Amino acid sequence: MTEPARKSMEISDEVAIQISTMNKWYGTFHVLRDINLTVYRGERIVICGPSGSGKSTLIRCINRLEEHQAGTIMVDGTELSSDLKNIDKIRSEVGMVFQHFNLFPHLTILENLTLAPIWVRKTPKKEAEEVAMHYLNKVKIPEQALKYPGQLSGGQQQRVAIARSLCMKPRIMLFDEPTSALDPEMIKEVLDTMIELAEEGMTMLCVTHEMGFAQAVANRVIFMDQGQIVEQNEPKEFFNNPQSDRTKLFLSQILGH
Amino acid sequence: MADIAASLTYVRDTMIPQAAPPTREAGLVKWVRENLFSSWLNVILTALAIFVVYKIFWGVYPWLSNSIWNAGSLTECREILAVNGVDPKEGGACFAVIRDRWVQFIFGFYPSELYWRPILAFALFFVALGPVLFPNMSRKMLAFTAIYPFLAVWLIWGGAFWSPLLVLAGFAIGYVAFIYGTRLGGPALGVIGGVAVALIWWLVLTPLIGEGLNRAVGSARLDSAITTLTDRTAALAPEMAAIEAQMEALEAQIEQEVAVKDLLVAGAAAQIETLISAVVLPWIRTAVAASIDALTGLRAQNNDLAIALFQTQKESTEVRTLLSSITALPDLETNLPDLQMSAAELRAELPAAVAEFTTLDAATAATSEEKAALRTTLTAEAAAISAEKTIRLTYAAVGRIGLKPVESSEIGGFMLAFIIGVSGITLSLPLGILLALGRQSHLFIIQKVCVGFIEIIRGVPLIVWLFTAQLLLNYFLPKGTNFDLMLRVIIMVTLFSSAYIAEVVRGGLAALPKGQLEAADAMGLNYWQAMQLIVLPQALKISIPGIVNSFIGLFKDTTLVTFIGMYDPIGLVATTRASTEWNGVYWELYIFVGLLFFAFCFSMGRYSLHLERKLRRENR
Amino acid sequence: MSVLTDPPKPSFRLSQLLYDTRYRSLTIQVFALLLIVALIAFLVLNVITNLHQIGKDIDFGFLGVRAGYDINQMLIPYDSSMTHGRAALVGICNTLLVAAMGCVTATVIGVLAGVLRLSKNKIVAFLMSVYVESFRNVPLVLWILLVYAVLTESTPQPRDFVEGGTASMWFLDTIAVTNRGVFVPMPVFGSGALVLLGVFVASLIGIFGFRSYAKGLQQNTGRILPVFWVSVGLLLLPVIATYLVMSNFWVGATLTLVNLVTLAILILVFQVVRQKLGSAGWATLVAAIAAYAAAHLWAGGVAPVLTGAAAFAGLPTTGSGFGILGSWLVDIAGNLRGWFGALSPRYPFITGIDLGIGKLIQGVLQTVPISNASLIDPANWTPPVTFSIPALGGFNFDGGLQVRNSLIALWLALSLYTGAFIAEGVRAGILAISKGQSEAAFALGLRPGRTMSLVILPQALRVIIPPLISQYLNLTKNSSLAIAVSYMDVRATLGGITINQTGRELEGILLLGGFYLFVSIVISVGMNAYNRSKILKER
Repeated sequence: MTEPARKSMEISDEVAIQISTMNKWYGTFHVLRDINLTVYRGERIVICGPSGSGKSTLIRCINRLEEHQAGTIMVDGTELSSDLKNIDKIRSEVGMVFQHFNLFPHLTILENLTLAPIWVRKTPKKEAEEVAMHYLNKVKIPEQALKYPGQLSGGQQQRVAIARSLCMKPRIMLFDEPTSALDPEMIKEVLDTMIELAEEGMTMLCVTHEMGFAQAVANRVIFMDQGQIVEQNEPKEFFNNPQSDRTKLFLSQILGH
Repeated sequence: MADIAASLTYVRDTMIPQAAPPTREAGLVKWVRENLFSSWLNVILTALAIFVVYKIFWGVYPWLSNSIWNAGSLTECREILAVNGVDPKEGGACFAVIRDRWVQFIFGFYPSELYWRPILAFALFFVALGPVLFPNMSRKMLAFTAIYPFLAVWLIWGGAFWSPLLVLAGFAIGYVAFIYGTRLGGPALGVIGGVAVALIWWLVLTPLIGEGLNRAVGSARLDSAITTLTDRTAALAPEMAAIEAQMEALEAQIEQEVAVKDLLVAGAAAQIETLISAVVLPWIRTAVAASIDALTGLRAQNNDLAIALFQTQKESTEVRTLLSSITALPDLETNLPDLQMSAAELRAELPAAVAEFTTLDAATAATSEEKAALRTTLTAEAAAISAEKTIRLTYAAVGRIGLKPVESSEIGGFMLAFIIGVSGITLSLPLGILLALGRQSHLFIIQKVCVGFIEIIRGVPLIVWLFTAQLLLNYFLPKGTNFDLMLRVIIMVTLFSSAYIAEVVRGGLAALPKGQLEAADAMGLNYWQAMQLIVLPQALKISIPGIVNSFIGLFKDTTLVTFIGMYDPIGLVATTRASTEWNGVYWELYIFVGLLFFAFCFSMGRYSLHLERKLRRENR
Repeated sequence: MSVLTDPPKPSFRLSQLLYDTRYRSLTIQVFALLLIVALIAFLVLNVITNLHQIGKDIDFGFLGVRAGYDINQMLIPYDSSMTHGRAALVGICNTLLVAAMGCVTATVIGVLAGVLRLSKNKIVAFLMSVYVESFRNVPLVLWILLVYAVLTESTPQPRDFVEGGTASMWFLDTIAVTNRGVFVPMPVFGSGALVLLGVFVASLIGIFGFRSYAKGLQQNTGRILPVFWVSVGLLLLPVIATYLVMSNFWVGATLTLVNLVTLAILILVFQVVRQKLGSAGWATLVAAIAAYAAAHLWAGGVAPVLTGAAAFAGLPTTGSGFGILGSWLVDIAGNLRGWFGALSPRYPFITGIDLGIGKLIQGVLQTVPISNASLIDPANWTPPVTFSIPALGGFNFDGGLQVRNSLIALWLALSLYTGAFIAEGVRAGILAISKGQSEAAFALGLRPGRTMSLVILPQALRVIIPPLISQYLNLTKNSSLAIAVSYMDVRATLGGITINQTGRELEGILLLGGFYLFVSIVISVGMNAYNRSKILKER
């Protein structure tokens, strides 16, 4: 990572996401409890926690892949309710990258990238393809444009998935464990792409266990357990001086070796 | 920026306990809202579904709740319904027909005194199936599974106890030949030798030995047979007379009871019309019910007697025929060589134009003399054959140590469906596996032949194959071979389902990673070893659900035999509907037959689903 | 560097045939070939000797011989003086007819049931699984026989349809279900039917053109046109308009206009209620009530007032002007009630648009200026399409089209049975698409409808279509169960009566098998081509 890039990682005091006392249940199981979270534009937040702590559910609520049952979520000043128009608006401004890539296997890489711009943003095909190629260049696999997802390696597929989200020019990006389905040698290429993205000032929420990534890029680390936010702090403080016992226990487990 | 980040520092001091979701998010309300009324489309669907359920329920429930289980005919059923004051629009089911006929639906026309034999065979079927379904059972049970088919055939069709043993012996002899052949000239010679020896044993030696045994036992028993048969003939006549007398008395009683019932029914009708029903009608209803009960009892007795009479009559004819054959036996035996000789001579002297014909119809173009000559020849040949047959059958009847034989045409109902289904699937399994291996083979000719066979079989409907079995199979076999229709059907069904099994197994083979075969090759296993030890055990395990599914298909397809004149459950529905008593009944019969098929196929389907899930769990 | 010499040529030994990999497979194949040839020779020789001994030969000449039997349903002209070959052809047509009808309905039923079985609505899902399981687990023959028994035993006889009889016809007296079959209206084509056909073809071309235009527009500018609705409109409106103009302009136009206006109002009501209450369920309910009220308003209020006004003004109540309008409004009200007839079962769910029109045409035509009226002789004018409606004459129905119970039973049972299997295929196809696919599409901002058509369906179809086609194949083969209800398919003509009459079992069954084999090969070739074109590319 080059030093000059760092200075572009500005955080403004404009609020990007505002979540207040949000609750969610699966049946009678209380998955998310009184979540309060404000994300400012330009922030790069890493969310970590033991499995089942509700991290993925939290970010999936932000673009309504999961429905919350109490409290409010505001994204860019739009409230997330059952109103389809708001959902559409938010979804086209929030990009998401999944653990298992979820590329469309029946479409070529290029078609995967242009699908949403053409049908949601109503971009002319040529223009959409130009944008797609731009982002494919950015994730360094323009030569794969005409192949199908099944023909690519895991790392390449995940980079395509990131490019696919970027094609919609989102203002916020959500990452749901983007590297945990990857082979170790492929993790780096995906993380590099994400770091580059962060350096350009993208607001990012990232569920991950890549603590190196957290220390290098994040401006805030959130630790969740039992469906609630237990601790949040700057990465340096968080890792060196954890406050809560749960955090200490978790950190000792994942950094144990 | 730093101040923002700093202001966001947060540490939770108390954990929030798990809370219950708000009421509109839990319980019945939520369930109903989410499942039934989540969108306008869903609302419409719910309304429609409830409407359908309501319609079906109110269509079916009164019909079922008014059902009659006790009546002698459809007319009686309707009389009872009328007496009970059932609204004719609702109607009522007449399940009495099932009560009357269910035994026939299970066994067909199988002799009722021998029902224990198919029942035993059916019970043993599960014993034999055990080691196949549960591989951790003792290996010794597999021996029983191997013997079971022969035992079952013997139990169901009857005959001398040595016939299944002789067939079984063919396998043993073939195996011995295989071992010696392998020792002498390698596995190729072993296989060819084994198959050849077994075929010779079955096709040539088995009939000879069987007949020899019949003859040996038969000659020894001839004298004692004559005395017992004569005694039996004497005893049968009074027995029949007694039964007939009893029946006559019963029939008079039934007539009386019917008159009583008719009177009551007419009375009830009058009461319903005049509407003075409050007191009298209930009394009439009980009286009709009692009368019908009495009638059913009487009819059951009468039926038993009729069966007994039929059996004694049948026995009497059999005994007399056998007795006359035994008396004629010495003459027949001395004349037989002459008869055969003269038939052969006549055939040799026939004019060339008709020399090979076996029916008169064939000789359309022949002159009248040629026709006359052919006619004499055919008569002589028929006489020789019939004499030979009488001798053979007489010895078989006298010399049989074993079970009373039953004709295939007497087997029907679900028993028939089950026999055809089970034998079809068991026999088609090995054939299907071979076809699947052939289809995957690299040997060009073998692969093409297997593909051709599978595609031709699958491309033509089963009904056409059954007609082939009925009309054409005899053309393809040497002159004189005449299979029983049921055997022909089983052969055809086996060939048919083997093509389907082959496709299922091929799927299993294709699902196996290529590395498996490569590893087997690397270990130095030959083709058959690799298949037997590595590939097939895995491929078959994957294919079991598919095999079970093709079995369900086959079991359902057995109903098609009704179109070539066999009495499977569907054929029996037609017979029942054609009878005077039950003409006009259909829902009840189809529901009964349908439910039995459903129970069997559905449980098999669930079993296959269970296996599939288990496999998926294991492979994860 | 030494020169390599050729290795000494090994001498060929006989055992190499078996133990040398170069020869071994060849040996095995030659041996197998010999066995197979021997087997075939054995069978063929047996056939030849057996046939010879009973004085037969193999001869397909019987196809050219006079058949001498009647067939009760035919799509191509046939009578008993024609040949066995022709009879076989009639049978083939009947087989293909029932197979084609079955495939269409089975697909509709199967797709519906498959999708509904996955519905979140538990009652519907349960009903659908009951349907699927009960048809999959009970033999097809039983279903065919049951449907046939119901049709022949519990339907009324034609003579019950007399005035005051126990039975009545359905759908405005146009369809009669009897124990001799179902009598339905038969279209009879009159003047200008070709024009109507031409318009229909033109609208198909128009739809095609519009679609490619819309695609081009989207590629160039990104604008998305409502392709579906425009297509539906293009398909229906020109044909309806032409039909109305050619039948009678004013009557048709008024009718259409009033119906459309009412429909528009209802849609408006629906939208408004949904906006206000935010609940689609309530909106549906309110709209339905409004529709019902509107129907009654038209019938009970406006129409009689108009008719009355016309009578008061001394205008003729039939013939022209207000009177016609009034009488037609009554009909319109009937139509509307028909549209929402689900609420009130007394009004059947069908519009009578074209049924009454014919009667008025003759009189009105002369008063209405039609641009090309001078080209047509008004006296001989008939509407482009009329329907021959079955009517009771004596003890049976005249007119209309008699669809025999055998065909209906076979068709219904085949479609329901195959539909159950197709439903399973559809369900499996949809389930095969992982949840992640729709989540990814949602996350990109695609609406559920687009997600379905752009992401889920293209993937599900490639799972669904191969088993679907093999179900079509099964249906075609199962149509041979026509034997259960004596439907005259190819098995009944060529493989039944012809065989019995000519004694040519071998030839007849060979031809019959050949026909089915041909059909299945055609279908599987098509399927393989489809599969090859749709294989997913993987590493």
